[in-house]
Amino acid sequence: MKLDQEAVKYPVGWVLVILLVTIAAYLWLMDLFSMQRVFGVLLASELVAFAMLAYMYSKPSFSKVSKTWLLIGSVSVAVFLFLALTIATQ
Amino acid sequence: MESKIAQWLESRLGLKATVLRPVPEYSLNPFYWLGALTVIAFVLQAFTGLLMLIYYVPTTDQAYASTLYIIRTVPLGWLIETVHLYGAYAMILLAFLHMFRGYFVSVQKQPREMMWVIGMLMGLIVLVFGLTGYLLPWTVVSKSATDVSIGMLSFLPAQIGPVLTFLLAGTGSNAAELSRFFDLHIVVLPAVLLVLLVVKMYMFEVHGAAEPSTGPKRAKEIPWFPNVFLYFAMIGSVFVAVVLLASALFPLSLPTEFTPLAASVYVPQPEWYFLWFYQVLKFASFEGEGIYYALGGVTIILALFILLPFIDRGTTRDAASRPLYTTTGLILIAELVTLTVWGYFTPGQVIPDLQALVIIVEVALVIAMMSALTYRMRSKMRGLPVRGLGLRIMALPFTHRMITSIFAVLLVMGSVSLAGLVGSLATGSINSAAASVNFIVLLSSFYFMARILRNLTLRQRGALP
Repeated sequence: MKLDQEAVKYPVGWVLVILLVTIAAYLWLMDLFSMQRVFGVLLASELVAFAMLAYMYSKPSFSKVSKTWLLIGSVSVAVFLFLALTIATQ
Repeated sequence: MESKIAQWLESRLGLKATVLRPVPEYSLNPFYWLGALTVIAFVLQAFTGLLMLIYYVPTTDQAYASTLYIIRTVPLGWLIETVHLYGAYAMILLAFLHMFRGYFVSVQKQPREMMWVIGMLMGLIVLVFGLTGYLLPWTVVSKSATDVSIGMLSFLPAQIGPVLTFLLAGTGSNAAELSRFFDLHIVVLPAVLLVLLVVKMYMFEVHGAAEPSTGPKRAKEIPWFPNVFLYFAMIGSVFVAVVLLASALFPLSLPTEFTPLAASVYVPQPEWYFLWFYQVLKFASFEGEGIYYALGGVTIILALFILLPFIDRGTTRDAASRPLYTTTGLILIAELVTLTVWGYFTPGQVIPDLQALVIIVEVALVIAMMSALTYRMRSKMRGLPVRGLGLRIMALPFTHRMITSIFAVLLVMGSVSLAGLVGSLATGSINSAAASVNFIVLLSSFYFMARILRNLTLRQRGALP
């Protein structure tokens, strides 16, 4: 099945925007004294998600966006979120 | 949707009317953005530094206590402190990478000579930033290392030493020293760096990014907004994310407070970016009055580097066609890394001259020989199709069982010799005879492996029967 590249761009973009807003809201509400390491890791994941969004929109069309980089970014965000969870539950 | 957002931003902010010029497509590559990343690191440093400034007190009795207060009591305090530390490391590392990348692709050639000189001055200021900022927490580690640095200034010729000592340390009291370092770190150096940055950015806008030293020179121009702006935002975000992650995973632990008693039992050692220089000063010949020669030698090398555009007047920019400069650069990097690692493992030890000579010459010879073999191989290959060669060369020895065995034996011999040399370097005690044998075995194994690779490659390309 051939994907309509531009049609995929919007859902991916929205997922990233929702992720950015969710993490930002959590960062705003969390205890900034006892959870500094979690804050650092979550902010890093926020920045990587933002970088993915910026990368997607820096290209003239979605077909020119490297899916490998998007995958690496997604895996990084997932790993960072897992790390934050691990640190928070320690 | 994004076009509407871009249109709205453009109409309200006038972003397309920006003075920043469009950039060629080939420059959308992280190697072209090392300077921009250094600037991002500087902005990160300014931001975290200003946050710490709210609580930091630059007096000898309060500096350590206020730093500890930031780390222990202020919300996000230790994260900000750690980001400031790692941001400084990143800034220095990026400045070095930016300089060496520029050196190897010859960005200093006409018309960018003055950009190189200003960039080098900015690099020196970044190092002074590190030196002045290091003292501010007033730990035994930072104060001892700073005292060694200030002590070295007195060896500078004529009135330079006394004037610099007065500027940095005042009348010699701890209070004056801390106060001056603080002023330099938060006012003087940022101001000078910003002025130089503006001048360099202006010249960059005039001359544009240097074309690639090889390959096609003409490329499509990409407008600054939104494409380049988004690219810049992307690499900046990834960089800050890496610094944040490192800070969160490896938090700073503050050493003990400086007291004369604590300092008396502590062996001073500088931060990693000055370790190479520290190691040079520990060579037996450079002890006492010999320090003049060390300072003189390092100053000459630095001056040659700053004035490089006026020394290297050739028009060729391709590193592959500039064996002398490329090999010199590689030797310089190898020596810096070796001296840094060596200095880290041998704090306070005076290094015998013979040992120093053996290590320095060995490193230079190994790099020079590898470089010479590479250039020789390249000249043999000239005229032959080399497209797609890359890592395939490395697989060639493993296509025949006999050659694989010989190659494996050579590889093991070379690795063992290299491990022996690095091991003796790490422990700081070197046996001249053992080092010589290791060195000869290392060179021989490298030589024969290179010969095998060369012959196999040429045979595959049909140049040998």
